[in-house]
Amino acid sequence: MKFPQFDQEIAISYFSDVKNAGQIRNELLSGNPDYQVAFINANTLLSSKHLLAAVYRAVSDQEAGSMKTKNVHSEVLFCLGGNNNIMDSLRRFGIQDDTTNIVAVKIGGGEYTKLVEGTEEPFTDEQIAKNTDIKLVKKVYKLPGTVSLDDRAQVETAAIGALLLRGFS
Amino acid sequence: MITLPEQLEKLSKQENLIAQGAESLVYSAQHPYLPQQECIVKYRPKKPYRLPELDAQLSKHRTLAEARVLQKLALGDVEVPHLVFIDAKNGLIYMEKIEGLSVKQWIWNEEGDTEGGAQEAGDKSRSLPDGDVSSLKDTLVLVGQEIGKLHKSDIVHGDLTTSNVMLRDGKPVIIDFGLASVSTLAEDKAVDLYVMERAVLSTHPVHSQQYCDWLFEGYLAVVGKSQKEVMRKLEDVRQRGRKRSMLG
Repeated sequence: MKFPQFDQEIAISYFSDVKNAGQIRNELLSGNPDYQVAFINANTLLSSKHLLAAVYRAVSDQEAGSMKTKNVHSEVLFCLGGNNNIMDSLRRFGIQDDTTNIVAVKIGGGEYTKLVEGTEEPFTDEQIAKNTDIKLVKKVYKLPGTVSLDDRAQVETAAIGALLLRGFS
Repeated sequence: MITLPEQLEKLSKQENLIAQGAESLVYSAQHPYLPQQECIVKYRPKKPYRLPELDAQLSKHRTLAEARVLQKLALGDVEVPHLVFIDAKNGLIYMEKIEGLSVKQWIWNEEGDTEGGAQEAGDKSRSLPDGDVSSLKDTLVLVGQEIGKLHKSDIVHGDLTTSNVMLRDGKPVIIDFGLASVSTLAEDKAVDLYVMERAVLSTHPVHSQQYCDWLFEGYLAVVGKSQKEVMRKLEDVRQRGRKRSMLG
């Protein structure tokens, strides 16, 4: 897909039963240029809208020249976060050695699906909802008790608002 | 001369301007990241008469202030448009489009339905017929409750009118927080209610008293402990008007 305002091609894939999260993580840490992809722990995502809000903010910040991290892919992870701590956002939304559900976002085109050893699933709201850890989401965005865990739509709105206002308040 | 900001050229058109205020232009636009969806963009254009440095600062500040209010209310479970994106540097807020009529328009439609016959029959008193009143009452009580929730979250709207509340599937959604601010003062909330009373009086003159009663019925049902002081202040405000006396 593309955002109407920007030219970059954006590809998103969902992988379940991922076996090589640790290896991907090591390649990322060593800065392998073939791994220019945002690998996200799928359990931290609420919906496609939630992810797209962060991707859109990352691409906007890239176009405006106001990125805070090294590249647009790490910026996606940073933009998912609700605070200004880059390490914190990479750790919470990025993958760990034992992560099994991964969403990969590739901005600017190019092959990336072969990097992940897992089952590719359709990137849909139903698929995302299967593995959302909503308690974790509520915690990472520090949402107050007035936001009910049962009301997924309200959690989504609150999370998107929090990530959009990050850095301004 | 109104012009579409360059950031919006790919999402909207000049003709999509749907409202204009002193400070901002409101456009209907394509959603920036969800395909096949629409959103609303509120744009604060540059004011050429202001010093550019000051202008940039003011636009950014006000855009963010409005966005923060929307976020605070979303967290407080008050029905307001969801945030879609914020571009503070360029004075743009993207938000959810609320489908439906403004309460103002809706009341006018309802009044037209229930009173058309009476008017034609030459009934000058134009009383609300008993049968169709319930939907008006129910809706205005709901609007009052939503305003109560707003004040409970310590936000004063600054421009509460029946055109700044929309009805989405019969549920009120408060819009336009351009003049909103955070305040815990009963005085500010009372002024907010006073502005609402006056607005109802001028947009719905015939039954304004009845409408205000229903709004207050809903309001008082949710505000809780702060209500006594707010209502006491409201009496003062009614006596003197919206502005506090500058004398002593």
